[in-house]
Amino acid sequence: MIILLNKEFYNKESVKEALNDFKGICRGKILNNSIEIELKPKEDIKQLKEEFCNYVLGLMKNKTLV
Amino acid sequence: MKKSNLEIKDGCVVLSINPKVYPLEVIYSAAYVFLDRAYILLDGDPKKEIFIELKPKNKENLEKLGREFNNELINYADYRERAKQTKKIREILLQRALITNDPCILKNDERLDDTTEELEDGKDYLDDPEGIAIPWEEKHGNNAKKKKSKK
Repeated sequence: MIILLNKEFYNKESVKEALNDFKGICRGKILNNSIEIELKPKEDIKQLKEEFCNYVLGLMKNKTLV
Repeated sequence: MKKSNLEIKDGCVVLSINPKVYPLEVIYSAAYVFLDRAYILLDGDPKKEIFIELKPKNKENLEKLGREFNNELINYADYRERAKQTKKIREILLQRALITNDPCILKNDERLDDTTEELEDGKDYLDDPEGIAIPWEEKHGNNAKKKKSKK
């Protein structure tokens, strides 16, 4: 599955961090500079795409809090 | 179905936000609050128009969800504005607290000197024009009566 995130709102570093944290349930990579992400789930997981986007947003917010 | 800045479609509610009214950091803060209730996707142009797509995790009234998000935006916009207004006084209070605990800081920071001067208005903290530092016994107790009677 492909996720397209707007680079104006999403931070590439946070996406990389999220991909690393999701390593256990899916494999993923950033395809290009406009933050196109390909996720390959290891098993069927509901709403993986949406959960991933929320997770990235959460990471970005946490970074501003520190 | 379109109501104000809300658009409901395919089980999602899309909010259109003017970034001149709500800055991006306010939008992030409001979105963070809704992370446990909805799946959120940000899109658009951060200088012209920002789209926030909210997809509820559980069955929820979409219009209500969108309107609650709008309320959260107002909440954080107000918080940001107040934080800006009270920035100076918060800095002074923090500096004052640090100075109280470690007066050596004063020697290292000229800015703190200015602040303490502002706060103390040139008066010595040992001055006691109201006699607050005099113990009660000394002022009103038996010793005081004796002293008065002697006079």
